[in-house]
Amino acid sequence: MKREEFLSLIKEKVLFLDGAYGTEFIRMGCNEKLFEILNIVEPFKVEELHNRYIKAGADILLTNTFSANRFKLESFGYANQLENINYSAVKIARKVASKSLVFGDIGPTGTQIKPYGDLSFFESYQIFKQQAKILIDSGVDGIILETFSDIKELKSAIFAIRDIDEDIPIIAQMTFLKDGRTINGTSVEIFATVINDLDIDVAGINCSLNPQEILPVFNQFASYCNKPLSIEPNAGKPIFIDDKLIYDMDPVEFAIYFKNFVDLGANIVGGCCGTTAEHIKTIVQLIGKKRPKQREFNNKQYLSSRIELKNIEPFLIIGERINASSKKWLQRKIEQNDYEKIIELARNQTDEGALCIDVNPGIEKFLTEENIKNLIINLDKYCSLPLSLDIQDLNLLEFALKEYPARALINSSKADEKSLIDHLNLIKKYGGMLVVLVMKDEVEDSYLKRIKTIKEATQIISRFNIDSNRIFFDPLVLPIAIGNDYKITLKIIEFISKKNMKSIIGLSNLTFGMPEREKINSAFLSLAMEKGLSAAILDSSNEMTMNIIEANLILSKKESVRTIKKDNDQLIQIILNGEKDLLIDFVNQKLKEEAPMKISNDILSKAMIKIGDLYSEGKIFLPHLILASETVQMAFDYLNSLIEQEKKSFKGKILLATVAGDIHDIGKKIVATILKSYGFEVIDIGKNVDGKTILNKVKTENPDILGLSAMMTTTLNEINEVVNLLKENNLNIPVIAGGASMNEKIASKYGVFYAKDPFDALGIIEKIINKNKS
Amino acid sequence: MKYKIYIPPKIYCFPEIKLFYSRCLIPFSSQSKDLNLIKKMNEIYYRSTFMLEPKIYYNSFYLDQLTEEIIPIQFKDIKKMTIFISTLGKIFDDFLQNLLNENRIFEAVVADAWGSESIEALNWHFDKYLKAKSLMRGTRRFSPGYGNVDITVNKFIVQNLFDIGEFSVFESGEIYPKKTTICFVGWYI
Repeated sequence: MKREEFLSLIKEKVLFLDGAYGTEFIRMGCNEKLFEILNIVEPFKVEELHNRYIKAGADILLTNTFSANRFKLESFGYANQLENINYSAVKIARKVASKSLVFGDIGPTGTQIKPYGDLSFFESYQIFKQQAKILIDSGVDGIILETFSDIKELKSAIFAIRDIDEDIPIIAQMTFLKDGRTINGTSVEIFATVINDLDIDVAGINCSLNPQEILPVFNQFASYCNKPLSIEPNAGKPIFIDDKLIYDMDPVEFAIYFKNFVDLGANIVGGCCGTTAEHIKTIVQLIGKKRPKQREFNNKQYLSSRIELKNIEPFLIIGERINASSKKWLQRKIEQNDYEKIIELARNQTDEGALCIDVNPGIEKFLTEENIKNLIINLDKYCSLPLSLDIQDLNLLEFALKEYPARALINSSKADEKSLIDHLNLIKKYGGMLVVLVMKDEVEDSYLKRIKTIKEATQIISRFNIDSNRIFFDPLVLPIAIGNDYKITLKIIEFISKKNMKSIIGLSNLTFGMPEREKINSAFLSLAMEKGLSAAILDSSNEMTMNIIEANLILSKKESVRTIKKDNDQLIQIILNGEKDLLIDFVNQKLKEEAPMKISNDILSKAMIKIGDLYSEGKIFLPHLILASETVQMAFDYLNSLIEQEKKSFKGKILLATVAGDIHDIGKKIVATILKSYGFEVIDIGKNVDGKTILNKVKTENPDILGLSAMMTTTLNEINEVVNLLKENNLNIPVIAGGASMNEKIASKYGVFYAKDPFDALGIIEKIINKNKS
Repeated sequence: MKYKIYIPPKIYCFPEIKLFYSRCLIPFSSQSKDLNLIKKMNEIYYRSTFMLEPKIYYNSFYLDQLTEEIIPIQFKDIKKMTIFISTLGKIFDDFLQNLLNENRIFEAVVADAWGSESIEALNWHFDKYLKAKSLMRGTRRFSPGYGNVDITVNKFIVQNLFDIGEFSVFESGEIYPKKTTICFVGWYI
C-alpha cells in the first residue's frame, strides 16, 4: 500500500487495530518462551487469533513479530529463524486479513542503546533494517513501531525503514507512564515535537496504561502532535486468578474511553496488553463508522533534549561557552574523549539560565566520527538542555544528528544554494531547527545585498516544504573594533522580524578584541531585542547581559508576571476537582491558624463565590458546580461539627419540596446542595409531597423561603395549589418555583419567583434574604 | 398476553458520549478539555452499564382499534401503528435513588443524564429494528406528551392496552420505574 492511499483512508474513517497477542497466547495455553516462534511451529494458533480480531471488526491486523528482531531472537536461540519467523507471520496474517490491512509489527530490541546501554545507534539501526526488510519484502501494507520507551531507538528504527522504502506507511508509537514520561524521562510533548519533524505517517501511544490513565497523556500528545494519531491502551492491570492471566478491565469499561480518544482526534484505535477480541468488538460497536475529528494543535517551535522541552519564545538564550574554536584545551579534551569539563560547562550554563547549549567542537579536521558521537552521547546523558550543534563538516554533523535523540538546533548553514540544500536535507530527515547565516561565500557589507541573500534563501527553503518557523536567520554581528557598522545588523533584524521570521545573533562577536565588552554587548542586545531579535548565542555567566534580557522581556510584556495567589487557585482547583480528602487536609492545615467559623466564612465561602463567578462566566458548567458544591459542603459539615450549636450561623432557612404527583427529585437535590454550599440551612421534605404536608412544614419550620419543584406539565398546577393554600392560611412566605415545565410566565401567573436553574435560584434567594435583612 | 417482549443487547442502551455529556449540560466545545470531569463521568457511565435490565413491550394496532386520544395528528394518513414501552428496569431506578438518598448529587445527576440518553439510544435501536423487520415504511417515532397526545394517556396504555403489572403510572402520566418511555411508530400500508 502506498502512503498516499493509506493517508486518504485514515482521513475517511477511524480505523480499528487489533488487540493483544502475547497475553492472548498465554490465555490460549501457549507456553513458548517467545510467542513469535508460533508462526513456524503452530501457525494455526496465530491464524485463529487473527481470525478473532477480524471477526471483531479490526481494519488492521498486526503480524506476530513484535519481538522477532535479530537481537531478541539471538537471546532466545532462534537467530537462524529470523527470516522464517517474519516471513511466515506475514503469510499467516495475509491469509486471514481479507479486506483488512496487514502491518508488520516491530517492537524495541529489548536492550538499552547508548548512552544508557551498550548497543550503538548504528547496531540498533541495522537490527531494525534487517527485520523491516523481511516484512516489507513479504508484502506488508505498512509497519507499526510500538512500545518504544527510548526515543533514540525509535528514531533508529524509523531511519532504517525509510532507508529501505520511502513509500511504506509507518505508524510510530511510544509508551509512557502516568506522569506522561517514558522510563527514560522523555515527555510526551518531547515525543510529539520530535516526531512532528520525522518522515512517518501516524504517531501514537500504546501499552503501560489503561484507557483512563492514558487519556491525559494522549490529550497532551494530541495538542502537540501534527501527525494523524493512534492509540492502543492496555486492558488494565494483569492479575492471576487460579493461575489464569486476566486483565482487570472488561470490554465495556475499556471501550467507553475510545469515544474520548476519537473526540481528541484519534485516527487509529486498538488495544494493547490484556485486550481480547471482545474488547476490540466493543470498541467497534461503540465507535462505528466515524470520520476522524479535525483538530487544532500547538504550532509553537520547541527545542528539546531527551528530557527537557524548551519553548523558543519569547527569547531563546543559547550558552556559548562550549566552544573549542576559542579554547584549545577544550579541543584536546574532545580529541581525548574526556568530557568531564565539557559537562561541567554545560551544567554551569544551565544553572545560569541558558535554554540551549551551543556545542562547537573546534577544528573539525582533527576530529573523528567517534569523537563527535561520544561528545553527543555524553551531553545527551549528562546535559539536560537541548543542544545547538555548531558543526560545519556535513558528515560529522550527520553523525551528531543520528546520536542526538531529540530536537536540536543546527548551527549553521551559509545561504548559498548548495550549503542550504545540504542542511535542509538534514533537518528534513533528522528534524530540528536551522540557523542560516546571511552570507554566501563572503559577508556582504551592504544592507541591501544581505536582504537579497535572505530573500533568495527563503525561496529555496519554501521549495523544501519546511515550515519557515524552523529557520533562524543570523544577520551576522561583526566586530565593531575594526570599523563594522552595527546599525546594519540592527536593520536586518528589523527586516527579518517584520517578515515574521526569526533572527539569531552571536553576541560576543560584536566586541571581539575590545575592553569592557559586557557593557557594549548588553547595550547592543537591548537594541537588537527592541528590533525583534528572537535568539542570541551569548555568555550566560554575564549577569548584565542576562538582566538586560529579562528587563527587555518585561518591558515588551512578553514575560508574564504572576499576580494570582497560588494558594487560592489551588483551593479552587481542589474544590472543582471534587478532591474531598485534599480539601479536608487543607482545612486541617488552616485550623492550626484559624477558627472554624473564619475558615467557613472567609475562605471556603469566598472560594465558592469565585466558583460561582466561573460558572456565570461560562468557564465551568453545571456538573462542575454540583461537584464543587458537594465537595465544599462536606468541608462545611466538618467545620460545623467543630462549632458549638448556638454559635452556628446560616444565611437563611430554605424549605424545599417536589409537589404531589411528581417523583422527580434530582433538580431539587441539586438546588439543596448548592444552597448548602453557600451557607444556607436547607430542609428538604422530599418528592411527591402534597400541599397539606408542605403547609404544615412551613408552619413548624418557619423557613425564610419555600422552594417548589415540578417537572411535568401535569403537576405544574400543584404549585398554584400550594400557593393558594399558603394564602388561605395567611402565610406570606416567598415561593420560588423551578423545574422543566416551569417558566417565567407561569410563575408570574402563580405569583411566585421563577428560577431557571439552581444557580439562578441561589441568586434569587440571596436577593430576597438580603432585602429582608435590610 | 396483550404484548410481545423484546430483550435487547445491553450495548443498545450505551449512549453516545457526546450526547451524554451534552445532557449533563457540558457544551460540545468543552467536552475534551476537562479530563478530571471526563474521568468521573466515564466512571459513572461504566457503573451505569451494570444497572441495566432493558426490556421492550410492544404490540401493533389498527388505528380503528384505538381511542382518538392516543392517535397523533401526524398519523392521520396511516392505518396501523406499533406502540412500544421501553424500560431500563428497576435496578437502574434503585441505583439512582440510592445515590440521591446518600446525597451523592453529582453522581446522581450524571447517572440520571446517562439513563435519559440510554433510553433514547434503546428507542432508536428498537425503532430501527422494527423498521428493518417489518420491511414497511414507518413514520418518525412519536411519544405521548407531544402534539395532541397528552402524557396522561400513559396510564391507559400501560394498564389497559398492555396490562403490564410491573409498572406504576401516576395520574400525571409519570411511569415508575422512571427510565421508562412509551413510543409510537405508524406504518404506511
